Order: sequence, then structure tokens, then C-alpha cells
Amino acid sequence: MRTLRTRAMIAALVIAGCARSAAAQTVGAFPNGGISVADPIGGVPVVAVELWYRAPSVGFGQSPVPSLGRLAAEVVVASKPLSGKPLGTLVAESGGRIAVNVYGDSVAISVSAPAAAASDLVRAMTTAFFAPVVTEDGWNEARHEVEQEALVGSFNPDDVTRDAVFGALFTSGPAHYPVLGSAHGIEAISLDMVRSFASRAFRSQNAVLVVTGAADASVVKTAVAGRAPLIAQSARAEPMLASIPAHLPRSLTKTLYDAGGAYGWIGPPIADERAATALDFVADYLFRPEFGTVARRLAQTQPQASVSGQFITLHDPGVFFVTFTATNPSEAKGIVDEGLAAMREPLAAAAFQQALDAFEYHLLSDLQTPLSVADNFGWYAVEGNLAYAPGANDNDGAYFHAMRSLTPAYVASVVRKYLDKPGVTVVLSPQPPVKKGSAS
Amino acid sequence: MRTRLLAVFVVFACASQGAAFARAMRPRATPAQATSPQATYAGYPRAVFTEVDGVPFTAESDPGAALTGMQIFVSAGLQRQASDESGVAALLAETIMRTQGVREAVAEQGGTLSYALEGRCVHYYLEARPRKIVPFLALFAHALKKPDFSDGNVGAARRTLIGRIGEGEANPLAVGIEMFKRSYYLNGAGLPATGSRASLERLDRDQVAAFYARTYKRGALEISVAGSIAPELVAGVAAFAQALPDGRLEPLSRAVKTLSAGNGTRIIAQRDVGAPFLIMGFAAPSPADKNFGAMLLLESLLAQSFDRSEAVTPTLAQRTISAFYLYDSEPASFVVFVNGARVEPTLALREVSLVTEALAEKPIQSDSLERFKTVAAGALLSDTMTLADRSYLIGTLRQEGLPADALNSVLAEVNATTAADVQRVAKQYLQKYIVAIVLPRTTQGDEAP
Repeated sequence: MRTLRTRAMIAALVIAGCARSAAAQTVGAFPNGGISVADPIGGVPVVAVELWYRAPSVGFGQSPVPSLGRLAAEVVVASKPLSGKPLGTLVAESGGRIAVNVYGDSVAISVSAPAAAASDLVRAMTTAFFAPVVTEDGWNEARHEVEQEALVGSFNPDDVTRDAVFGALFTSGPAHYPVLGSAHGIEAISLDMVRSFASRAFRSQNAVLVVTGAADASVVKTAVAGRAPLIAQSARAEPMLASIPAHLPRSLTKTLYDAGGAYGWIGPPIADERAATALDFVADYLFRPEFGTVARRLAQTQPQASVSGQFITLHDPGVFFVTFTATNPSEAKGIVDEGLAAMREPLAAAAFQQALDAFEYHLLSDLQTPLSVADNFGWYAVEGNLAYAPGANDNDGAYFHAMRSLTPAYVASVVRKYLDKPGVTVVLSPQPPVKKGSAS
Repeated sequence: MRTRLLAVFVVFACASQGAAFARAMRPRATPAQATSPQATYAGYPRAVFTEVDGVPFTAESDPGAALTGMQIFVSAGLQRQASDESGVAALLAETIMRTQGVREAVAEQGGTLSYALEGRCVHYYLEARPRKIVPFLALFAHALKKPDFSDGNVGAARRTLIGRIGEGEANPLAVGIEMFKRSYYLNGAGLPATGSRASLERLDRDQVAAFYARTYKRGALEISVAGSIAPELVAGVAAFAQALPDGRLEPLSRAVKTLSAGNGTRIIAQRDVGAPFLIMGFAAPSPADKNFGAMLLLESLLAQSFDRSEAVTPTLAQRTISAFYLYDSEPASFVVFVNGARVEPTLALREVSLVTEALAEKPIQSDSLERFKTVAAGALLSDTMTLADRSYLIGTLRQEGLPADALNSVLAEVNATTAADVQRVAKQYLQKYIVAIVLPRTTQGDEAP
């Protein structure tokens, strides 16, 4: 009876599974520039639609304007075009969610929505962001929220230390400047500045359109078919944006509510796939929450402490970044330092293989949703190496090949080469408590 | 004041990604969406149900998935705790996770093993590649079969839980929901998920072992899985089922406080938050109830009607007013929260009351009905994208009496909801409530009432 029931169950599952299969990933090009990536994925009938643009978040001008990229994208989302509704409204009415993510050298607009709305949303997003409309109402709607986001970021230890590390690692270029800046700074941004940024950054030649999830690749084709007026014939994509490393090492102190610290190192460019993957492995092995050796040791000694570390894959160069907050920061720093020092020597073969196996699992776990897959395609395309995106070629692309090529000796050699002495060291010092009666 | 206002944003924003917040929010079923719920309905992976050696087993096969996600529900949640056992369910779960280092062993070998407490049950989540899930299940079975109740292990579990107690204290939403639950539920569902420092320190290893002996029976077990399903999985589940002894548990107590209309019960607490927060707590139908679809629609209506929709989707911290349908406990409940950092709370409370009264007085217009059906369906889909969420929801809804293919059933229910349904449910459930108010602490050392 047990056997029969088991067999029946397996048969039912196999039958249920046969109905779903995913088509192949496709990469296409828009007329006169810009690319599209479609990755049909089975599972939940949800689609992710993202538009990525290579653009300095602080604007194209000589004087950096933190928050300009975010503000411009959010204003376009909220602006009502000549006919129809704002993109934000269209997404909400389709049951979807829309977000804007901004990095030093890129701006991303991402939507997740029921698959049934895929075609309409691809069309709506390309309409809004291939020929952006910026209105006073959209400006008023977006500005308050961006100010709030900047305010929140100014109290977030990760954001504060990240801005400090990047500001010190580079002397110029988009990586040197904070993405959000201060809420006060946003008051200095005018509608004309937003309009100017939007018209230069948000155009098809500069776009990476990514559609992943339960949608057919044809929705990308239909989105651009017969829409010549939206696809300008002249201007080209923005060039790769260079950030110039500073003379290092440097040390600095930041004041916040928490005690802690941060490190930054200049790492390999995205073109050096094997070295970049090795540093991703190191970050995973040491710092992944609840798994990393440093993360676990710190959790055991200081349960309230937090630590994160990652290799940030950029065009050239990349950055290895570690930040921590702790009740006993010197002890936490010691744990971080010891963990990094241990990686200078090759791990034992069995331990390495187990860690590599876990690393592969973590990658797969992080690539579960259409949004996470789309994020990777967008990021790696903007940084100039789409083929290296985790998730490319159904998890059997360049990234996974590089991962499987890692050896203990090679990883140790990469650590010795790139993670010797930190390029930048930040001490996070707790602000003295405000005395009662003092000005708020 | 300015500093405090900022602090609440920070705390709230951070908490939205933290474990405490995840625990607070997990029970909700999200609303939904789209112009055409029918179209989405057609595409949902179909889940199937069977019993494996007497253990209810629901599976949603997704051959394209690289991983398998499995929820192991044990009906040993907060509602199984006696009033003097606050925290014992969590202490036992943490003790099991530490037995033979099973959590770390799974992590080191490339998987995830975690747990969460809710009213009805504790659910353990196991995720791994298909070829590894069965060996991991066997590892976990060893720990579940014979937990390490030594002083050392229980003590370590206790220290871990005590370390977490403060996590939610600065999150006004989590505090407000807990206040409401404590007032509304007259069973263990109103007790704090991890207990208090004092209650944890009072619990000894014998009490933990006794709770285990009382509740961890095969008849209290239910398993759901989503993702890639290896052929050997069902046999692995059958072997796992032997980890617990035969036996069934008594039905859960469903005792709750009787709510009163209008300005009924108000409870107030002070915390280190930057702005006041206000929670209205209501009774709600269970997922198996005919009113479930209408309640989901009301959730999306109340969650999205008070913020403008032109811009990017607001995060929870950016919402002025929002709503959550909580059906992790029996009976279910429903909360509406008002974010005092963005709106004057008493005015907002009045506005919410006017809306709920209006919803009960006359049917909503057909275009609004269709819009909120779309939003409700979309939210459901958006909140079930990971294997953890998918396996959780199909398991939870099946336990509540929905068919195995619960997600499709829910979408169909939302789609079939009429304006009269919405009016009836608003009238039945949204006129009586408890108000929980979380205020910023006024002076150092104030104790919460």
C-alpha cells in the first residue's frame, strides 16, 4: 500500500511538472543601440521587467549632484504623459510593484507583476523611459519620497560606511560620490536638471531591457515593433564610466549611533571573471549571514553584532567591501581580521570543496525569483559583461564555469593579491548621547 | 524630535528586512491583483496532495527550479502553550535546531534549515538541491526524534532567544500587532513568539521536554514542498515521518475576546520609537470560510487606498495606512495600521472608521471592485515567488481546509468576489475592533504599561 501510494504520488508530480518548461534565454538589440534580454522561467506566473541605464547617479555635469539619478527616475515614473496614466499608476493597477534602484554608475527601474500584464507593462515602461516625460506633478510626487530615502540612508551604518569607503577609494568618477547624498542637497535640484538628466540617460540606445519570468520572449519584440519615433536615430549609448582609484591606504572616522568599522579594497575588473568569482567565494565563505565563518563567530560572541562583506563586481576595478557594527568593535575587528588572514593560505581540500558546494547552493538560492535574475542581467550588462551574469545560460554560463574552476591555491593567491592591506579603513564611532534639554 | 522621527524610519526600514519583521509579517496572505486574475489563475503551478504514511503532504512541482523547498509544520505553536509556558515552543524549536549541530551541518553542506513560530504551529524550512534534500531530511529527523535536552543545549538555546527579544521592540508595527494579539486571543496565540526574558529563564529543561512529549506527534505533522522534486523525495518523507511517535493532538482552543463596536478597547504602550503608531485589530474569517476572498480584497483595498499610486510602490515604512490579514492563528484576525510619522493618527483613525462604515453601508462600485481584485491577486503572486513562501502558503492554506491547489483556489475566490460579498464581510468583521497605540517613550526609564 505504501509503495503504491508513493508511486502514485511520484506519477502525479511528474505529470504536473511536465506541463511546464522554460524556453531559452535570448539577447537582442534595439535599432541604433541598446539591448534586450529575455529569460522565460517557469514557476509562479510572475514577470520581472527591468530597464537599466548606464548613467552617473550624480549627473553628467562637472559638479556632482547626489540623488539626481534617483530623483529623475522617480519623477518619470510619477509623471503623467500627454495621454494615458503615469507609469506608477499603470503598474499599480496591473497588480504589480515598481521600484527604482540607483548605483554609482547606473539607474534601474524594476517592475514585478502578474505575467498576464507582461506585454502591457513592457510597452508602458519602454514608452515612459525611451522618451521620458517630466511633469511638475511627477516632480512634486517624487521629491518628498527621495528626501525621505536620503534621510533614512543617512542613519544606516551600511550606507554611511559604504559612501565613506567608496569616497576614499576613488578620487573621481561615479564611484567616488554618494548615490543619495543628503536630504538637504535635494532641495538644490531643479526640475530642469531632472529633465536634462532624464533626456540624456533614459533613451533606448542606452537601455538594457530585461524580461524574466513567466513571459514569452516575444513580448520584447512587440514592445519595440513599429515604434520608430521612440527610438532615436542618432545618439549612442553612454560610454563606460571610469572611476579613478586614489593613492592608498587611507583611514577615516565616521560618527553615527553605532560602533563598528569598514574596510575597502580595490579588486579585479569584471573582465577577470575567475578572480572576481574567487572574491565572491571569499565573501560568501566568510560573511554570508548564518553561514560565513566570520558571521557565525561574531554571532556567537556578540549576538547583537552584524557584519556583511561582498565583492562588488564593477567594470574596472571592482571593490571588496566589509562593514560591521558591534557592541565590542575591537573584538569584532579582530574576528574580521583573523577571518581574512586565514584566507591567505589555501583551505584544506575537503573544506574547500564543501565551501564551494555551499557557495553554489547560495547562488542558486539567490537566483530563485524573476526579479533576482533580472537584477543580475541588468547589472552585469551595464558593467560590460552580460555573458558573465550569474543565471546566464541557465546557470551553466561563464559565472558557474569560473566558480567550478576555483581551487584552494588560486583563491588564496587572489586574496594575497587583492586583499592584502585594506585600501581604506573606516572607524565607526558612536555619537555621544544628546543631553536632555539640548536643541533637537 | 527630529532625531526620533528619523530613528523610527531607520528602524522601520531596517526591520522590514530583518528576521523579527519577517516573523511578524509571514502569516499574512497577500492580496492581489490584475486586470485578469483568470489569466494568472491558468498559469499557476498545480499543487497535489497525498498522505505519506499518514502525514499530509502537499507538493507543487516546478521542474525548472534548481532547488527544493520544504516546510515541515508541527502543530506545536504558540496556541499549544499554557499561560505559564510562554516561550516554550520557541525554546524547544531552538533546542532541536542545535541538537547534533543539525542547522550548521545543513548550512555547511549547502542547504538551509530554519524555523518560525506562529499561533497554530512551528514550521521548519529546509531548502537544498534536489539530490541533497533527502539526506538533509534524514539529518533533521535524527534531531527531531531525540532532541538534546541537556542543560548545556537548552541553556544555549535560551541565550539565543533572549538575545533576540529586543529585535522587535523598536519596530512599532510588530509591537502594535503583538499588543493587539495579546488582548484579543485568550489562548497562547497572544503570547509573545519567543516569550520574555523572565519566562525563558523560568523554563527548565524538563518543561521543554514535557512540551515536546505532549505535542511532537506524527499526527501533528504536515509537510509541503515546492520546486524541483526528486523521485526519492516521497520515500524520504515517509522515513522522516517515523521520527515522531504515533499520536494526535486535541483541537486548538479558539477562545478570543468579544470585540465591541466603535470606541471599544484601547491599549497603549510606550517604546523607543520615533513617532506614534496605531493598530486597529479586527476579527477575520479563516481561509476555508466563504468570506476569505472578500477579506483578501478588503485587505488590498485598505492597504492601498490611503497612499497615492502614481509614484514608485511605497515600502511598508513609506505607507501612511496599510492592512494585514493574519491567519497564522485560529481564529484569524485582521489589522489596519496608521503610521504616525506620516499622518496625524487620530484623524487617520477616524478616516479608516469612516471607510469601514461606508464599506458596510453600500456596495463598492464595479470598477473599484475589479481594480482591487487585480491588486489582491497581484499581491498574492508577488508574495509567493520564493520556494520558502510558496511551500509555506500551500501548506498553511491546506491546513486551514483549502484544497491542495490552494493558491489557484484563492485566486479563483478573489475573482468570484462580488460587491455584495465585500459589503457583507465589511459589515460582519470591520465594525468592531481593538485599538493598540504605540507611543514614543517620553522619559528615560519609562516602562511599557
